[in-house]
Amino acid sequence: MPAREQQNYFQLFGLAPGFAIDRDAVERKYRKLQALLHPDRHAASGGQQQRIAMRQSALVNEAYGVLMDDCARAGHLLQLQGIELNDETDTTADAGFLAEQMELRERLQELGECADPREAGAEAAQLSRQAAASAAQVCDGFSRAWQGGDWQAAREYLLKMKFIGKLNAAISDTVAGLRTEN
Amino acid sequence: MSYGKKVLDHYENPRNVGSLDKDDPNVGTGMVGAPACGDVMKLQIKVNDDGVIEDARFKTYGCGSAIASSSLLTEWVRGKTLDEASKIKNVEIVEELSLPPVKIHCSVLAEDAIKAAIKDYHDKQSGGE
Repeated sequence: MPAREQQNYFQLFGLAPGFAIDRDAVERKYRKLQALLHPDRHAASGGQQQRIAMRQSALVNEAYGVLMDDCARAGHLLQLQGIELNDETDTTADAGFLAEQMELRERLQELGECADPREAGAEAAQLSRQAAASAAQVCDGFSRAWQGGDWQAAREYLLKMKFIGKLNAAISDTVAGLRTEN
Repeated sequence: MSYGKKVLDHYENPRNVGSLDKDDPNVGTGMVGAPACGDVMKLQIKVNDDGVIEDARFKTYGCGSAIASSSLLTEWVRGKTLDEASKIKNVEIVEELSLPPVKIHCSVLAEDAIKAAIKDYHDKQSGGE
């Protein structure tokens, strides 16, 4: 089965592939590309040209979203190496990591049930910091593994990134819940 | 998302939530996770001298289907031998809870968890003292 040619989003944005990213450069390039591809610019050139511009514009949007998001960018880097992750079946066997995630989840649940808003707020801030520290650690790990060409390790780090992303979303939800209750 | 009746029942009244002493030699702990949902699942079994699971507990953080799958599984494995418990297949959970295709991985996770718990118990028994 011939695989669809994988578009290289780094190339599209004139960047060298890598996990570290210059967000300002991505932002500037994004505006520049979208200005070039704006449908109004192609209104005179007829339907065919306009359709091509629209497709390109959608591609640039997609690329922008991927490049600006840590998990998506890491996934794209692996994709470019021919490694696809399967969310349904891939998981981490790192028991220590899972135990830590479990503990953070337990603390988050207790926080949601905490009656004292000040105490809950302080605990939420601490959990966010801890999650941010974990995220920084796995991002750094991914970056090093990718640079070293250790795809297996990079894949493992990406899975952990996804867990932490979900945890962060859950923390945000809980914090939003605390605000609306008070 | 709409969940089936049995999923909701287990989600709202989960059975056997809690923890067993993970350092107890008769307790096996299985810890698994699914990045798709960010689910983390811990399933523990306490095995008596006849090789029968006399207690099972779980803690799952994740979507309703993952919670229901692990809740159901703890009910099923109680009173079963390790051999019987290891033969439970995820499709049985899917059928019992009428899980939709996008939630099948939650039942896979539960099956992985009980297998991991049984393995942990065996490792403790053979490797330990």
